[in-house]
Amino acid sequence: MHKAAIFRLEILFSAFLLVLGIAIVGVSLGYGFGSLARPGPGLYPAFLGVAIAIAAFFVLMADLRSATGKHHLDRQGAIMLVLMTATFCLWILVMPLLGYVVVTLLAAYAFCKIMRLEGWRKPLAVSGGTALFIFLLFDYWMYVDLPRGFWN
Amino acid sequence: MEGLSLLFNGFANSFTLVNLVACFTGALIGTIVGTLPGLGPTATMALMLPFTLPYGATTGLIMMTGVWYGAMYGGSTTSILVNIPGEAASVVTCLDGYQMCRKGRAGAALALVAVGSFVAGTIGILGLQFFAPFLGNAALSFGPPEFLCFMILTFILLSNLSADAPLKGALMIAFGLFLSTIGINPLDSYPRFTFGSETLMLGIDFLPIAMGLFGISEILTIAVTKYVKPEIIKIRLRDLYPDKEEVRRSINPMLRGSVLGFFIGLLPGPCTVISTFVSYALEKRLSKTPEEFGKGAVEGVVGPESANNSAVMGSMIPLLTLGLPFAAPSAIMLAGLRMHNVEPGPMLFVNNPDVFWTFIAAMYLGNIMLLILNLPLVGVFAKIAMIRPQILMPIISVICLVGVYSVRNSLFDVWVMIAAGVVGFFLRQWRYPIAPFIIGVVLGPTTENSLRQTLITFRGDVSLIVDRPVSVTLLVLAAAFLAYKVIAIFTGKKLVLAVEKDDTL
Amino acid sequence: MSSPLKFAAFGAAVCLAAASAICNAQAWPSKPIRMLVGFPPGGPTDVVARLVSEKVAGQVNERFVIDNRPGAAGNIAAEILAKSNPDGHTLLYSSNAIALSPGLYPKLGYDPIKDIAPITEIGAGCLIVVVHPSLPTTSVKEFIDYAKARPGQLNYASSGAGTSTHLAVVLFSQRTGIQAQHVPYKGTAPSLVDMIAGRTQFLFGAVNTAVPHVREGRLRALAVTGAKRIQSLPDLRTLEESGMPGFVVTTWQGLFAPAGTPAAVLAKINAEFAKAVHSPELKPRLEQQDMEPTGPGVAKFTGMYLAELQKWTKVARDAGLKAE
Repeated sequence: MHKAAIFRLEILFSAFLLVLGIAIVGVSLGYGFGSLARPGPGLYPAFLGVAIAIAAFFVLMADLRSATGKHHLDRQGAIMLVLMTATFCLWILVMPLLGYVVVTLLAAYAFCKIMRLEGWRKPLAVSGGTALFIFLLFDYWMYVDLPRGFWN
Repeated sequence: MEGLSLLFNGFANSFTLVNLVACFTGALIGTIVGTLPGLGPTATMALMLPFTLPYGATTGLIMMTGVWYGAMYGGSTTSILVNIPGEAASVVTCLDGYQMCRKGRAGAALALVAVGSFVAGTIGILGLQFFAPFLGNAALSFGPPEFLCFMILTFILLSNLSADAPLKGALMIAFGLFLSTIGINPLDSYPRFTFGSETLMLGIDFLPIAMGLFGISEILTIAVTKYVKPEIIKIRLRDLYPDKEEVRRSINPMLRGSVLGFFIGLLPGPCTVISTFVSYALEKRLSKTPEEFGKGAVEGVVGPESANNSAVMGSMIPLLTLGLPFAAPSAIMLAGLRMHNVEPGPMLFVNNPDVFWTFIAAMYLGNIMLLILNLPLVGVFAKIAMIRPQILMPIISVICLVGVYSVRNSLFDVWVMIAAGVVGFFLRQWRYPIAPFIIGVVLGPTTENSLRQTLITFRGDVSLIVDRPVSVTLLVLAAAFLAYKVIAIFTGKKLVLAVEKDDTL
Repeated sequence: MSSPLKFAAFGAAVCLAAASAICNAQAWPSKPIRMLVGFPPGGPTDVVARLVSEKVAGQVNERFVIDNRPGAAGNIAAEILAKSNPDGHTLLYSSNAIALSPGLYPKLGYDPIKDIAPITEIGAGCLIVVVHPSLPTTSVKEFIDYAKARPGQLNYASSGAGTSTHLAVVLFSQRTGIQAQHVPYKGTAPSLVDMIAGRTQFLFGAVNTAVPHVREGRLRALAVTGAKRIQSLPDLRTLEESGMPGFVVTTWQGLFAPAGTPAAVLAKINAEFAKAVHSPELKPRLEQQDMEPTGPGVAKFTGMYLAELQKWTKVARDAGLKAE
């Protein structure tokens, strides 16, 4: 990712929080403030919304002024980030279908390869061993109810 | 002294094989559970309840306290080694503990934590032994107004944590507090910010956020940074254990943490977690090198970890003397005791004194057992930290995934963890302090509930608070700290709006 | 497929279905049973759920897996139950919250009448009316007069909005015409702390947690809300005896299955749990939790559940309590 892009993302973030703060106040109004003697559900969140908005505003101003953009994420780093996150997400999506043992094994293998572990034997050992360990620990020992997919 | 003879009886009782095994088993299971992300001591204790039934009240109590206690010991291990809080009370340990690990001082951190926990446990048990009856009544004087003032004091103390970027810190706390309001408020059953979604009605659980914010973001950060293979340094035995300087610096934080944690344990709510935050903030304030906090200051590791161990003992007091469980694990122990026909409360000392004293004796033993169990493991664990990230990170990643899921059987929680991980990654890139965020999430519900209950009982007239000595004291303390800060700003320290240095806080 | 073949296939299917229905009842349980609990582990409902499940597990030689799904006063767990497979292997253990919360949450994810099949009641208890000793009232009548003279000035504690400790007082207020300020707490323990400290003046609380403090003199008991007096304080009158005929509030815990579970299976589960509840091992433990073991038949419990549901929905509606 280009240097400026990350920097812009940071500005977007504080701007987003500013908008969020205002939105919170708006939604809280709908919940009712009640009175001081009988505080309604909206009083406390509204107060928080105001705090968020004010703080975000000042941070945003400061960020816009200090136009350094010295934090950067180069292309390779960005790819790693996306790959790792995607693997995490895929685990969540696929796990109920195929059962956690298989998907955990696959995910562990994928993580190994993404982190550039050499060869295929080591990743297999690592992922196989971990999957087995997780199975024994969570399923066998602690009776935790984990999805088996259609292998039930 | 009558107490001593009862204590000897207690020791005699606790030396039965059954009790010793129960103590050991509980402590072992607790340590494992504390180490694993996801499952916490509360759920484990609930699982074990039926198994303790055939063995009698004392044995059951010993076993379950062992679990809780062991979890406090074990929770710090993953925090230090891989920046993943095994459970809520270990979050603060991540801040400096993990940094110590990165500096190669993992073994030192682990060892000091083990010893600190032991010291704190001993002090806690002593406190329980001598002061139980008196302190029970003191715990009653802490109601919503007192709690509210205590929260105000805590927030002011904790604002120190983000001294380098106070606005960003304030933003993070406010955001964390907000996240804790999502869901159904137990006080009035009113769903907020759920937008009709049933999953959101359950609220956002704290553990996925903590694991994501600390653990997953660390995994992502490591993945993104180019990995440079370090030269193979031969691990000397000396490196595995703390050096003189670290030991010297740890003594006071250990003692302070123990005492502080014990008293905080008396309070209702998430006392173990609060004790760690307060201890950390206190140590940072008292330290002559506060800038080291967040980069591996040993005081910031030892203080909180001691605090959470003695908090366990502290929170046994309202349970045993009043029959009131202030924390979730205590509630389970209450249920367990009832099942054995022991009614904790003022009648405990009259009807079943042997339960109390055997329990105390067993706790001393358990403390020693845990220390003996954990110290040699320090070496083993420290070696784990040396495993290559290519192998370690994948293992941790999937354990986190399964662990988080297993808490509530909720895929939503796993999504939260991933989202928190990604957000945490960027927050660290942009130098936002993340500890205040977590603090907001944890303390949010208690703060709001105390505020609302106070307002209701005062009928909105806040000035009534002057009638309550404890509240006034806390508020005065808070004002004092605030004044100190303001003066410090005016007499020289610049107000910095962004963190310039390489600060992982 | 040719016609005779189709007919044969259809006939075979019918026979299989019938056989499996019969077999189901004989075969229950045929795999580990999932017991949903709408409250977090360690709470009073959860603890009894585990105790009872453990006993029945021993009787039928099959594992029970407790699945805690806390949230929305037990509604989340109830909803999961309603959507589960009605084969008798997913059950819900609930406190009377299941009858109380529909009044508060009109937009439930399930129909509390059509989607739930009640099986049996495990035990029943009641609440105890306690006041802070600083109040000069020693009987229910004195208390009502005292409260009426001070509308809006007295505070009462509850263990949370929508719990029986809250709704019982709402019902009481409706019946007697008193007006008091509700101070909700998160759970029983904090509500008791503030009661003892005098920050709230009265409470309709859980018996087992309040009684030790009554004995110590920290709280004064005025009456119990059940139909009968309680064992631990046999001299304490019930509200009915104190001049409020027909006012009975019980706290019960029961077992439920998804609607559509075959009646034979329901009967079998009922029988097993009723047996467990009256067994010499469980009976004393239940009584310790201030629950009298009952174990009525399916039809009786269903009637009871529906009556409770109707009663509390009306209370909530009349009081205008509704979460969105």
